[in-house]
Amino acid sequence: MASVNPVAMSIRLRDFLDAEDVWGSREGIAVREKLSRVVETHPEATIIRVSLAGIRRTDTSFARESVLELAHQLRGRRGVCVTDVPSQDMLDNWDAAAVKRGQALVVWTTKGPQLIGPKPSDDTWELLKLVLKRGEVTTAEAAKVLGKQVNNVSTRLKRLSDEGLVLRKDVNASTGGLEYRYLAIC
Amino acid sequence: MVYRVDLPSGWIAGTRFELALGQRAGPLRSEESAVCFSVPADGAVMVDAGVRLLSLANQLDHIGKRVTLEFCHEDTSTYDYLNRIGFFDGLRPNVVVRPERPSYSAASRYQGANSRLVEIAPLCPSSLDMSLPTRLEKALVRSIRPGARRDLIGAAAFDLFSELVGNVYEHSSSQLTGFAVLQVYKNGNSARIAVSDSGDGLLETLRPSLPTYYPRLVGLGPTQLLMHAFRDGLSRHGKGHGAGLKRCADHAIKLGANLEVRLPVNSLRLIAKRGALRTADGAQVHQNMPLIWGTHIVFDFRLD
Repeated sequence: MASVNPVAMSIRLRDFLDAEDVWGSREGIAVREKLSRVVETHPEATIIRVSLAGIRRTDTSFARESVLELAHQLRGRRGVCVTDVPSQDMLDNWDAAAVKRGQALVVWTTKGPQLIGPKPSDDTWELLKLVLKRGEVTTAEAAKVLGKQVNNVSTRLKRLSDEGLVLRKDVNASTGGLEYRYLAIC
Repeated sequence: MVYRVDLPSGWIAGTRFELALGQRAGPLRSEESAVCFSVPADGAVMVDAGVRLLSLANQLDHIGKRVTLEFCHEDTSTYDYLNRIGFFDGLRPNVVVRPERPSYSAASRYQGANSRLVEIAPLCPSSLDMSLPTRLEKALVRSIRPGARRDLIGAAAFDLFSELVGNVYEHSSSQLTGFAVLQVYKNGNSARIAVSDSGDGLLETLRPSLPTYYPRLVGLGPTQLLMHAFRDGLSRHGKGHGAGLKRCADHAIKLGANLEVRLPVNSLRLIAKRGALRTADGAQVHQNMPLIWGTHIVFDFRLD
């Protein structure tokens, strides 16, 4: 079966800031508007990788209004993930903001993917980790690997897609007809 | 008639300043058209009391009262200290200072020269100083030996200042200037952070949003509501917001800090204990206090 090969674009958040430290709702909204304009100019990109490299500090208000709100607005259509988080403190700030915003986000670290924001159930987290590890799965593949009912896995994958944690694509199945493939945001 | 506030001798922190205001409703609600604050020669005003006095004097002037600050003619140490931290720079022009206003601002002259002190930073509603949290964090970190504790305190200081200063700009709804200040106490190896505004106060800002966003909290008293704001995060904008106060509480717990919140007629003192912020033992919750507009938050924590 052919892979879907989503198009990803990388954004270095520092390029949108005046300084290596950034804070506050007002600044977050201003940066989100700039990010939105850049994303709109690349309609082919379904995955938006936001790198925090070069940033020293952000507070929760900035995190909420900038990238988390952007991810919330794009969810279901395009996926946002975060890379290069410089410190545990910043990760904690983004996690606190994501919990409040109700927008989970995949963060890629040197130790692998982490999830910030509202915590899913253990089963859903196992399923998400499988998608992140394999890059893409169908419902049937995931159900087989995890030993779960197809209906159960289908519902969870649909929810992960709605929440912006995986992408869902229609592809032609080898047996004819259409099937959903769920893609990692990475 | 003049409403007199005689500040005590010795160290004057926020709580002793409050006691000096007396048991009445306070100068803002008094019938007297003039208010005089008297600072004794040996009265050492700490930064949290300093910004509270500054805010109150400006509030009194704003509502049309004649305000006078009296300092001792002979011993000018307190006067000089307040000049050094920029107290008089933040004082509204109509407020009378005796014997006289300083002829120059020592804060402007020596800005940045003292690593243990950051001058009182004005939080003007019309202009946002984006560099302030970083400056305050770096001033604090310069006073601490390298190590994990320094990294922890640096990150916490940035977050505390950015969240609290951000709240002043976004929520205080006041035309009056707010203030932020940091003092490192070398002997005690401790630091004090204070952020004050002259707005409606945290709870008064939150309450109108409770029926819409947090109906279960409508009946809570000031102490419980304030505790809820720090433990779980609350915002007048609803459930997607309010992470900032919770993060401040998280940092207070990590630092083992004491936290004092002074609202228009209430105050609450919280201590970090067993992984949570708790009300301190004894009479640490005060209600029906003399009116001071705004939210005045003070963090105390050790540097070692």
